[in-house]
Amino acid sequence: MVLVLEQRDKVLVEETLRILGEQDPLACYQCNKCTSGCPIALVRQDFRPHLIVQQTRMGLKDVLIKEEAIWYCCQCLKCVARCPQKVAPYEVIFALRILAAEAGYSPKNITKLLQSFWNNGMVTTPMIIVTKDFAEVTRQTLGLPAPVVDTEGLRKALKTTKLPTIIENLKKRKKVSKKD
Amino acid sequence: MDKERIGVFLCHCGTNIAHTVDIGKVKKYVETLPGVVFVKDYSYMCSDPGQRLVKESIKENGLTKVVIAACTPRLHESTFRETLREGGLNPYNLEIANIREHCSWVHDNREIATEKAKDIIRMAIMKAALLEPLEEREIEAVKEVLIVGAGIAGISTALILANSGIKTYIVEKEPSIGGKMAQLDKTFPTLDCSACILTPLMVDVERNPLIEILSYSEVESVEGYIGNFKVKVRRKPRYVRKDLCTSCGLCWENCPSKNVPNEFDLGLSTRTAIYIPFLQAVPAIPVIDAENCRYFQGLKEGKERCKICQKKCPVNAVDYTMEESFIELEVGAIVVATGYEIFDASQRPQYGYGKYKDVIIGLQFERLISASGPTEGGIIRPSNGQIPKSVTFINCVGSKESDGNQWCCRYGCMASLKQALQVREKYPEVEVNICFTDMRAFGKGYEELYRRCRKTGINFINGLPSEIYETYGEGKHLYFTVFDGFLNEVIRIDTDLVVLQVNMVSPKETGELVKKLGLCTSGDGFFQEAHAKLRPIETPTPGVFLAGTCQGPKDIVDTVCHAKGAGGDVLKLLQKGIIKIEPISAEVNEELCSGCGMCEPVCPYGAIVIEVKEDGKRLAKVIQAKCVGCGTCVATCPSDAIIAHNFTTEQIIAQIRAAVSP
Repeated sequence: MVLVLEQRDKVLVEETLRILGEQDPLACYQCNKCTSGCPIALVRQDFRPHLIVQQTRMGLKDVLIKEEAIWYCCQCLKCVARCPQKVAPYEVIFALRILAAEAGYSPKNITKLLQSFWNNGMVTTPMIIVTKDFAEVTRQTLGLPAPVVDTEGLRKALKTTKLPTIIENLKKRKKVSKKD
Repeated sequence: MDKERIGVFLCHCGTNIAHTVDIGKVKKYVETLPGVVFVKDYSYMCSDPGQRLVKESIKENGLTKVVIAACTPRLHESTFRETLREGGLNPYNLEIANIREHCSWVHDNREIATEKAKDIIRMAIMKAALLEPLEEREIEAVKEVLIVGAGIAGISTALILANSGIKTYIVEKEPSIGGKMAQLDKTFPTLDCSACILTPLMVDVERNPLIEILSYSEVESVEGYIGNFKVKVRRKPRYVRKDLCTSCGLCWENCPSKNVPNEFDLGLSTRTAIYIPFLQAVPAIPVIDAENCRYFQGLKEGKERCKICQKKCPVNAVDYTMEESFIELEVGAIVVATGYEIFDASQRPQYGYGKYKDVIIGLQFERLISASGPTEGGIIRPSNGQIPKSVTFINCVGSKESDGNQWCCRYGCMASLKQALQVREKYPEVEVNICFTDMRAFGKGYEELYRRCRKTGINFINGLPSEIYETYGEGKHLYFTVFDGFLNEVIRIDTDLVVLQVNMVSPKETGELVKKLGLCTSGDGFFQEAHAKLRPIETPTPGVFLAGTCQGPKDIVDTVCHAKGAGGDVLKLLQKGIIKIEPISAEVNEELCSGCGMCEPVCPYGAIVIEVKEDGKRLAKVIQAKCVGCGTCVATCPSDAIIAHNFTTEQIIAQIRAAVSP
């Protein structure tokens, strides 16, 4: 396959910069320290933070937002600490996730997560936790009150954000693809 | 032999020698050798305590000869000679046994290396017994200097010398001084205007009463030796008299031959037949290019044509009768600053230079973006004069090849960055790509420029294209595919203008100068320096120095450093007006010499002349200042009439005997 440079997204960097603030993927000179130290890169061959930054620089938006790779980051922030150019692939990856979600691309679980937040203000519903001694722990056994969510107030607040449109877009479910 | 009291000093050189050579065993062995009265080993003989040890041992033991078994004489021979002098011995009573480069570094078998070290030291001891004290000689030196080439290197050296009170001649083959730097628009990493920093120096050179510019001239021949060179300079006719011309410009404004390709703009514009190369030219005296002049071409047919420049000249400075002339100079030192030539990019035809109009080289780009250039600073596609929608720079053209140009040009990466940034700043809507292999931003401030360029959104593609094509028909443009190592993908790039960053190569004239000055070149064709690290300015020929890119590719910063260093080296040589000559040289025994003359042509340094005495007897004579003691004449002489001091036949035979009969 040949990438045609003329067809690249010429504003991708600007779009990410709008989200990123001070970090700038353009400063990257591909030393690859981020990938060298990345714990996810050790177990997933298709997750290469330096490549994500380079693809962003080159404006390969389609490749980036349609693939699952950008959703693998576990946010350990090691790349932020190591990057000699203060690019911080983590930040770039987060900006890309926002762009992907806006365009309606995200893995299934992420959609569920957002839906849950929309519904009851929590990314996960309160669960029963089992300890190593097999004791069951709930909010109740810990003496905590049941969560009270002002659903109306929450939705009113969330409507001022992009979340409703993002959820609508995601419901149309454009599937992200895996490389391997 | 019995009278000699030889002291042997064994150096461990930390572990450099001691790791491979068993110094203890060597010491025991050396003590048994004839003539040796004192043996001592020490960890670093070249250190201050080591030298003191040598000095004191000489006095305490009444040594007459000293053998130091250590590293190559190229490093510390002069150090130890001084040590001997301080110890009260003639400095030439020293022999160095090289048991590091010749032994410990090249072997790993300790036992065999130890045996070899014994052999090397034994040979040195046998030679040392026969050494004779020698005295350095002094010759008077002419306190004037010739610089060949007036680019930024020649100019920098000249200003150092002239400002130190030394008369300096600069020979420049072009009509103006300034060299390649005058053609550049801006210089990296600071983006200073090249002309703005160069022209003040050119004016300084012109104004300095101790500098004489011999422009439009070439070195014809060189005779003599360090301190006393005789140089013949060929002055090409300008056909314009320097003493009358006021640089008013009426001649070139009215010249009817207007379509001569302009060398200064690398063919991107045209000039007239009578011209000055560029507006700030020094000297600002026009020159007639006879090849393209209607008058001179008419003369070939026996007709007198045109003469417009002569008619228009208000001061009658145009003189068609001028002829080539020669002047002779006497100088004490010569600095070669002949610079480089741009590699001919059409020799790598896959990139289409010379075939596609929109493929240009970096220096052409400089002329385009220069406000004084053919487009007054506009970047255009030479094919149609339009502003390109995208510009692609390709690095390493004719560089880093296994056959061909093996070297890195040392400016291309930074030139690409600088030029890409200039495009980005001047035309923000133009896409800029740089195809490179590795970005070598090695100098002070270079990495900052690289970062600044990255932040402007230039596309960096880690890979070079294999070949470049052009589309057909409407909207014709260039395109190529390139594998980008960063993305791990093959990319297709469509672009309107390709700029090739081509390598530097040694100029055509290098070969001639090699012969005229007795120099040599390294494998890359550039002049060979005396030592790659410690003597990068001196050449193997005493009194001849190198400055700038004639020694190897350099950017402007490095060129200026090298050139100013050359100024320092020349000053060191000429400041006192007296030069000390090493006594290791050949000498002719007049009683044995038959005057056959066989030695004269074999001398690579031209140090032997055949003199005819009053009685008609022919005798070979060694010019001591030129002789480096190589021994070629000694080996050639059929009468055994020449001896090489410090390498006499007896001394060498003694060494051979020691080598073959332990």
